[in-house]
Amino acid sequence: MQRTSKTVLLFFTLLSVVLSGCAASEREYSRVFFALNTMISLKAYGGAEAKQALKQAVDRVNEIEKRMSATVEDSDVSKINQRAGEEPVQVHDDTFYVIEKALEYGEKTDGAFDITIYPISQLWGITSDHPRVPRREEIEEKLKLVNFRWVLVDRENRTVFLEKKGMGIDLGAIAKGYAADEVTRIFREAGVKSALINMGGNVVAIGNRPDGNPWRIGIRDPRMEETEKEHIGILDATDQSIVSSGDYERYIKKVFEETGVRYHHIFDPKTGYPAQAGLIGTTIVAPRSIDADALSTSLFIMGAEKGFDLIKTVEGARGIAVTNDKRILLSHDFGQELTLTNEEYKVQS
Amino acid sequence: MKIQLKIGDLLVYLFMALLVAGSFLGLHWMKSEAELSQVVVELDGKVIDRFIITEEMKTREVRIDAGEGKYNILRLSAEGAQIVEANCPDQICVRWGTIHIPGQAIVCLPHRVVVKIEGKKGEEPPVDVITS
Repeated sequence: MQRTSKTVLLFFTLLSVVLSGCAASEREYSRVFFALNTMISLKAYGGAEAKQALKQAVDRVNEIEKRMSATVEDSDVSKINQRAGEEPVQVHDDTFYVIEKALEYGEKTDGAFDITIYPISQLWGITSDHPRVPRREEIEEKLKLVNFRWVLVDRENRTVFLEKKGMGIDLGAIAKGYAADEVTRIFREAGVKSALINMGGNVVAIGNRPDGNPWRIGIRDPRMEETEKEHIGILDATDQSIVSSGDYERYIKKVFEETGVRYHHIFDPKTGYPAQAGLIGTTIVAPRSIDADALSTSLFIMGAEKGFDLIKTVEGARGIAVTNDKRILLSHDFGQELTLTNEEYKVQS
Repeated sequence: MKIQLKIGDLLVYLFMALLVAGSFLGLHWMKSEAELSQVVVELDGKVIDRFIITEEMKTREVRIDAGEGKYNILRLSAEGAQIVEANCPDQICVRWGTIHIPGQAIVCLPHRVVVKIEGKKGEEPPVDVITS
């Protein structure tokens, strides 16, 4: 009898272990807030450590915005711009890091990725309340101020100097990626095993979903208003950053409605006009979001051929390009990770 | 006596083995059969969040922040989506109950929050997030 009761006891102990495993209390901690000119959504799964990490992450993003936003008056970036042609400005380590990284991409892309595009984007004002198509002479005048090689950085003194008066930098094409990497670092250091970061469409999938499956990331359909589909396909992601760029995000709606021409916000530093390399949308999958961010813009400006060559130089990076005749091009074989579900687009290998 | 005890043990072991095997098979079966559906949360007409609901998921609660301290607590479970708490004046969303059929929606007018179920057959498969 004793043995039976022991066995029964063992059975119930095991059973309770199994059941409690099923009901493990994994909570979602989430925050939605505005920073870096976009809506940011952070979700972390776990216990107290996730809650704490989330708070820290929000503070860090706000700190990055204070230092790197061109629209915050006393940010490092604003100070650099205000003193263009006058004197070098000492900046925080993180601002310096991002600027160096941006200049590195300037070299890598032979100037297709250029943070000194700011005078041109200001001229068009695509993201402002009064966007307009400038006259050619105006554009040519401002183009004289665009060249990333005129950004002088001094590592020892952590200073940045813009050589010409009137120059300006904008870290909009790379700061979100940096911020996403910083949030990722904070989550990992805190031991958060499952989290999803979404910074205005810059996505980082940390670990797997709470149910153990990879995160399902929808890749934005660049023509969703025509196709009535939100995504072109789904990427199963674990510990990856996914960033998309395209002509669909911000453009002069009024001109588009009247003429059908899409003057969008991604400018070609060579022409001063919105980039036209035959692509309407680009997506980069990479281990680090700062690379994914810079590469998605670069690919859009450079076009598929040159852009894919560039992507192959960054370890772990892969690219998806959607052409203006609705073909999908892939820089690498994604295998089963990528499911292209949208029949409006033809996949070309 | 001894033999009887052994049979008793054996039965318990057998039952345990069946239970373990059954639960694994069950999980596996549920995974392949689980109908995925998409819960979309909108604030002011803009999608601010989305979730996947599966038959095997754990119930969890999510706070929808509608700004100015306004909030709705959304419960997601295998049964569907339900608002279980909100600080809106009319409390209509809380009394709405659980939605689970594609096309169904919960609306909280005072907070301008809409929670809806998407994922009809033939429509797009659900995702955790969409890039842009």
